[in-house]
Amino acid sequence: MKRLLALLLTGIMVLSLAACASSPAPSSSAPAASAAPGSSSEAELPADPVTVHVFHYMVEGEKAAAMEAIQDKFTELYPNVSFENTAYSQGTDYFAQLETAIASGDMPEIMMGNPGMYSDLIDEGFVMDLTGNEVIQGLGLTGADMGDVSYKGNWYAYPVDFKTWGVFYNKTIFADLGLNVPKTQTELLDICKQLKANNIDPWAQWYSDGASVDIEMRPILWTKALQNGDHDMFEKLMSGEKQVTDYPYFREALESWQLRIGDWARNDATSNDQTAANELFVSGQTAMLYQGTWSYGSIEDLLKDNTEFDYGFFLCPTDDTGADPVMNVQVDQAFMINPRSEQAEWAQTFMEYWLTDCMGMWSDGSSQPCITGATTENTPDFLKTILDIKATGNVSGYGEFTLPFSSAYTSAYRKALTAFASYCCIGTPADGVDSVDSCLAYMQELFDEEYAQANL
Amino acid sequence: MPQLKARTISKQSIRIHAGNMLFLLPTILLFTVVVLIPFFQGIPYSFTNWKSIISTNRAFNGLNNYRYLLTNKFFLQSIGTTFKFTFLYCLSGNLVGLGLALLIHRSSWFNNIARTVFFLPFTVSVTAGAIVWSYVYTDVYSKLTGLVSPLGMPGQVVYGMVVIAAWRDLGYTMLIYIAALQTISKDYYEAATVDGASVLRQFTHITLPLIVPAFTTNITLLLAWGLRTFDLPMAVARNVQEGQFTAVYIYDSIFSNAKAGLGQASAIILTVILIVLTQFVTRFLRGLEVES
Amino acid sequence: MKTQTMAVPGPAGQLRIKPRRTLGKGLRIVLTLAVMLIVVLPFYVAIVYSFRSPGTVTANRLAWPDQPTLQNYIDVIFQNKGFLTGYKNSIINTVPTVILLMFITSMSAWVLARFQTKFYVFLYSVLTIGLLVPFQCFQLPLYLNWYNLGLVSTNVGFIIARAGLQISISLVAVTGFIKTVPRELEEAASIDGCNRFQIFWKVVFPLMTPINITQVVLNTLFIWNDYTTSIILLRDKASHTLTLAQIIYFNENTAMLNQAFAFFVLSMLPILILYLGLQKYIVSGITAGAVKG
Repeated sequence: MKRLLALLLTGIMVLSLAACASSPAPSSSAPAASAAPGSSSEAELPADPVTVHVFHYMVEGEKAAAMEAIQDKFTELYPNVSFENTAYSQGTDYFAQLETAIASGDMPEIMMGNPGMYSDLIDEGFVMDLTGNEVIQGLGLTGADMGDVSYKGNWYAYPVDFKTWGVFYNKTIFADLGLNVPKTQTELLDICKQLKANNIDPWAQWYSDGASVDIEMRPILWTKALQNGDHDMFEKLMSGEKQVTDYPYFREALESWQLRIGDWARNDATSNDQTAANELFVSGQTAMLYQGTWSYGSIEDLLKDNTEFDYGFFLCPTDDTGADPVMNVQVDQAFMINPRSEQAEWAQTFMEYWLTDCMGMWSDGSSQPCITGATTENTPDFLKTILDIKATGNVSGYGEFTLPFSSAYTSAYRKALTAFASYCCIGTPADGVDSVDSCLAYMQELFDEEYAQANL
Repeated sequence: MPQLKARTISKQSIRIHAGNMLFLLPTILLFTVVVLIPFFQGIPYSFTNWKSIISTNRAFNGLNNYRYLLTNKFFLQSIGTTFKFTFLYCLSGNLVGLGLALLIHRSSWFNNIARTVFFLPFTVSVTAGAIVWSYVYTDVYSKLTGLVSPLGMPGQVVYGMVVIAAWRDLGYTMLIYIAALQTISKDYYEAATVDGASVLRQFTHITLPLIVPAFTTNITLLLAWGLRTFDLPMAVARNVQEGQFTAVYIYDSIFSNAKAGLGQASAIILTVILIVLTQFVTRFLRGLEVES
Repeated sequence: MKTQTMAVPGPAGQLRIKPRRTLGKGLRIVLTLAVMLIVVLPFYVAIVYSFRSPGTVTANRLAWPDQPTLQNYIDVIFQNKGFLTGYKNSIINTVPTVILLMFITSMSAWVLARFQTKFYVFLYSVLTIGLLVPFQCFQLPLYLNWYNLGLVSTNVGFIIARAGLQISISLVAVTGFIKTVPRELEEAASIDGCNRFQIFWKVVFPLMTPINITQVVLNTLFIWNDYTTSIILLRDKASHTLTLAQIIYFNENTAMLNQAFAFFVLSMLPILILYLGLQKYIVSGITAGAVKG
């Protein structure tokens, strides 16, 4: 028995050493790009078949189909180029799968994502520096938009469209009760009260998904922080130089959130996901739904055979000044190029073709507002409204911050918010959170944890 | 039971053991390649400060990861949650499985239908089952009771998941109990009935001792599954700290949060806990086994 | 047999037992039915959703749809590009894995059950350690090895990996079963001059039919429903299995809930048919007769 154990231990050690020696990450020598066209010139077509691999998280059919349609058009132009798309759900698998692939040396050409969230990829040299790229320059985007696809001042992704969030409301219910779109927070609260008095639930909520409270906080959090010049708020929180309580906006946003939305919870608020909340709203069980523009296509899908349902959209007022609410803007679909992949230049050619020739096609297919503001005769009024507001410049963009929260900080942040939402909706403390103060303390604790781990 | 002692080296015993090896070889080979080698390859990483798995930078940092984890509130919390879940899941999965097996282990058309029905949940993937249950909780449970779905309450999310896990696996434990019950010769019961033993006495003195191997199987299995549970919290408790199981902690550390070294260390700790605990339980149950 | 005949009215001496037995039986049926109801509930919910037409989002989500439609099923089969490929791949991956497992685990379980020296006990502990090691602990090295061997996105690679991962669970169950099978038959065969291979294939293996069929069904379920291994090892769309084709429904934001449930029902069907077909073998108590003695 002892001899066996010794043998086994020796085996372990040999294997361990072998594992130490063979590093899993790819060697730093990048494979030379094979014959590919110059990124911007009209190059002669090589006959060699080319496959461009795309990693993305548009698992729902509509957006993926819209991208595939663009890929098909590209293949018509360049018959030797074909595409292979790999999609994973963002919340659970996407980044893990992308990392695993890259760690083994399996390099996708195109990787979906906002560079700030995937700084590891950039730091390790898996993302092409696109600073000064003529096509991106030609889009004429705002500094905020470019901020979303930048990291430490350099450009790392092709932005395609953007997202914002606000209130979808049931026009029929509003009209029946004589309610108007609110201009101030007090008016909004009045609407909630009147709805409640008429036995209608004001909100369809979806707090099983951490993104929900997050986007409901942003109109105050981002806007106030940017107005006060705290462009480095997220950076300072991640570096440990600042604490959550150093920024009053977190408290303010939480308090306002509780008033506007948190106090009006149905008993399914904490268990619903986006799909369930969208269905609640569309089936007329609630008068309002706080949602992101990414859900517009899904909502329309639910209404495919239902022409009677009439709904509108407004930005949520968060104060009593009566001024037009500032719209949050964040680049949604963005694509990075992997310079170590075999067909990086073809990938670039494709992305630039998409940005220059296919924006309208993308918008129509995906029901998303294009970053360039491109429209077609099919663009629905909803998107036009959003584009119009963006054009006024009355916006606060995530890209105006020096750095966004990394994915680890985002998930820590959302855990604290979800705990507070649970408390507000159910009334029992969650993770020790039973007030705005304890929520902020818990948030800081989670950040500290993340910080400590990073410095192990 | 005649034990075959390998001490005396005889031609016959060599032949027997060589033959045994032939029987075992495919299993050992497959298991080594798929599980053992990758597992041992992973161990060295746990002594490094490896961050993102795409990075080549990693430095030996000794026992830092282990020291950190064993005093860390969140990691220990995840182990506590995992234990709580596993205990309740193992208990309910076995009790319900055994209860059902006793109810329907005899063959009849009704029992056959019932077995099929009880086994249905096991044909469903954990993820899909969990998502269906999230709708059962909101559409049925909440509607009937007016209460919030347990998956929506941090304090109850573990219980909510225990129900889902037990629902899914009761068919499995039931089958194994039924198989064990059917190997018990009816003669024992006949003799006991003749002796005037009550049903309860027959159960505790005949049935229970003879199905101990089934207990060993089922308890070990559910214990191990419970402690490794991953799909379930990933599907329905992604954002709730109370639903953070150790397996999810490992996954998040290695992949989502770019703390590969730390994640690997937490995986090793979980593995050690699993081995110690199941060895303990299995030894205990083995001691109860009788050969019929 | 005795217990059944006792329920039948018989001589006066047994009348005392009869009422209690009958009551017991009635109670048993009621209890069984009650548990069945709870167990079936989630399937009812899934089926209701799967027959809803997209336009009829109603307040009462539990009610049977007014106009049940097969549209969701049709959409899943013809519009989800991953569905048919997924079905094909799931079958190609599952069948060989399950057969391979049946042979190798029954062979090794026999040895491990019959030899109880320290070496074999230790070997048993090592081989069943797979049950205890969290997959997250070695999924990365496994993937890297598979990638270097060119086994990623291949059926062979998946079959080897999945069989290896399944060994531990199978081994526990099969070894446990063999221990309940008496060795008298083997000893008799040995006296008759059979060598060990003949003993195994002619005597032991047939006796193992119930557990082997049970294992076939259970392993099929595990492998058919596998997600964690598939998502790591099967990367090309052409190699995707049903569980991977399903992910388009289970993400943060989808409007295809009805289709998701239709998919759920469709992917369960073959397993259900398999189970129904093999059910009578699984717990038919074939061994009971051999145990005597």
